[in-house]
Amino acid sequence: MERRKIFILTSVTLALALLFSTTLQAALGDRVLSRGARGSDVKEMQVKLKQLGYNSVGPIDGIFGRLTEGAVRAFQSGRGLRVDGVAGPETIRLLKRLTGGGTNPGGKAVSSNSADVNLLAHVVNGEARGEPFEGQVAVAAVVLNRLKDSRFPKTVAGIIYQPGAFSSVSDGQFNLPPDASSIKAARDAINGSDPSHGALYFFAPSKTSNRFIWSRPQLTRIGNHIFTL
Amino acid sequence: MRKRSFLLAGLGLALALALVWGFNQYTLARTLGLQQQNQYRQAYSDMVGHVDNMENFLAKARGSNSGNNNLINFTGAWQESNAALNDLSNLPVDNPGSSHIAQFLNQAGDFSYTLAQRMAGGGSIKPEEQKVLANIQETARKTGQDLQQLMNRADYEELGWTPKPTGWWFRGRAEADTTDATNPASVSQGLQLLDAQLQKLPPLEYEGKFASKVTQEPKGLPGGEVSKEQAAANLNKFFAQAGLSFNPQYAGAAQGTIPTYRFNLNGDANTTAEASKRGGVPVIYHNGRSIGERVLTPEQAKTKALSLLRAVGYPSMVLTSQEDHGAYLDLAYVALEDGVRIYPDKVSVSIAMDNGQMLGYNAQPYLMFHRQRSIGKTKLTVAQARRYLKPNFKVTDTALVLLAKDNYAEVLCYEFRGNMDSEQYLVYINVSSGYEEQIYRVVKTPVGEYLK
Repeated sequence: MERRKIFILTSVTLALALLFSTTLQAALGDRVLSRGARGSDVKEMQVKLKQLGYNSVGPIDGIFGRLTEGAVRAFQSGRGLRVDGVAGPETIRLLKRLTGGGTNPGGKAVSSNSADVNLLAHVVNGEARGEPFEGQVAVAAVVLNRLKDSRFPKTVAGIIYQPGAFSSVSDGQFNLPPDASSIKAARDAINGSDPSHGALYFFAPSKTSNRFIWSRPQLTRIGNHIFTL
Repeated sequence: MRKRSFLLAGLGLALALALVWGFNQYTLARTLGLQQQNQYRQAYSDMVGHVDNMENFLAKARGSNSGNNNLINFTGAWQESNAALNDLSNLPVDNPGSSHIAQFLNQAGDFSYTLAQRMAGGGSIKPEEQKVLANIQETARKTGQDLQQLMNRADYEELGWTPKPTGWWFRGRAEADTTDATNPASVSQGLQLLDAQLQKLPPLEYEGKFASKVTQEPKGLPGGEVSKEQAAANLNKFFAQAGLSFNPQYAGAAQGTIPTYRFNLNGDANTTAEASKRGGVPVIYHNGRSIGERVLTPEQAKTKALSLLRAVGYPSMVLTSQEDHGAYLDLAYVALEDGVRIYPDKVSVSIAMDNGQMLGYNAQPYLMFHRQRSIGKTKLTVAQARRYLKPNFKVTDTALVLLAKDNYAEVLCYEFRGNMDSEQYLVYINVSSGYEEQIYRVVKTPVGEYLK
């Protein structure tokens, strides 16, 4: 009887220990992550993948499944790594580097311009998903051109959330997580690229009958958008 | 019989449920509507207050002869204009950006900021600026009164924010659009009418980044318009110099600051290039190809970028910023003339880390600003200029640079990179006056440096 108790106890402890050994891992980068891995480090990796626009990662659940593997592959192929779907030291190092925040030389965390990049990427994703890349940069550039124009609000958030300013904000498309291309487009625009040629508005001609917007001088057409002054 | 009464009871229950649901929806919509109205009202009331305060500061600035007081007056007016603008951006608009109220507030703030800087430097207000000041204050006074009146009408006559919807299913009469400035049908219409009044005012003439007269023309383009065939030929030459080969297909023309011909390369909408109409100079290029495994080091990529720039006609460039995105490096270069970094003349290049090819190229800033300049002489030596820095500022790097200010004016400066306590800065000292023209804080991110 006593023996049996001890046997049950040890087997339960063993089972628990086994369970926790796979779920209670330390920080991201302590081990190689591949299909089937579970734990907080997997979750951290999923968050970082999503942050960089690899939205195919699926739910942030701490389980390295098929979707997560797909996102790791997409990340590897988009970032110049060997594509094997396994998050080894190199993949994790790059993932950490690309999502790292700003610091001063004293090593203290300082906010960089990531908030603006994030807002711009959301607008690009909401307004110009599936458009040619140049058209995506142009949409982000329109927001930045408004920043320099005296008739518009003077912050990125002010311009984007101005009631009625962007249809994707009104209909909720804006809130979808931006993809990697939208994020790159936002960065390119911040770095000074402006394929919109100084435009302040853009619209899809097939969907717009607004007289005001049609009356503006048209500057360029990229994909399905006309960009106007 | 029994079946029927069951059916009736079921229908009755369904009706009751639908009514409860409908009432809930109605209450919810009402609450949300009210919340929104309250937000609009708060923003509007705040805006009226800020415009009043701004006008008051400007009025005081007209009367005061003290530099100290006027520093406070102009700084105050500048801050109040920003706050008013922020409130304005929270109000619903039909056509964002057509707002002359915003334009007026921006210019009033910009003008105040310019004068605040002057006051801080111990300068004085010029007679023509006194006139502009009087002009702005009067417009602010009038606008403040009009905004106040509109708010009163919204309160007492229960004007809505947007014109009432028309149609038999909405209660209330249809209200016609009115052009009578004293009798708008809604607050948003009242704002539009106010806008139209402000639009009629003559433009403000002053020095500042939002001054009406600041317009830009590309300065770095050779004369003479070229055909799109010539532009395509120029692009082909450019790509050949960069070790690339494409088949450009014309995809339309673009107007704007630098008018261009647009081309799709190799039939891919994500691989595009633009060449200017004037002179057929390559302006923008982007390659959307997928990138293989990274084999280059950042140093190799930078060497490659510099030689590419040399090959396509930029013999003397210096790297000013780099961002490492893994598969590619984004690099920004500026022209180096007689040892002076010309910051406005910027060219950005993106290098693929799998084979060193050029993935992206943008010469818009360079073509906008580049020209034959007569860069002045330095009155101060580096050692003399250093005395204008804080005594314990530890300089790590010094360069002679041409810096563009907000209103595109260019000033020759010494750029001092250095550390103070645990922060890094870039400080720009005017080479003749010793005036500190600009200061940036350097933030390091794992991708690259960022100035703020």
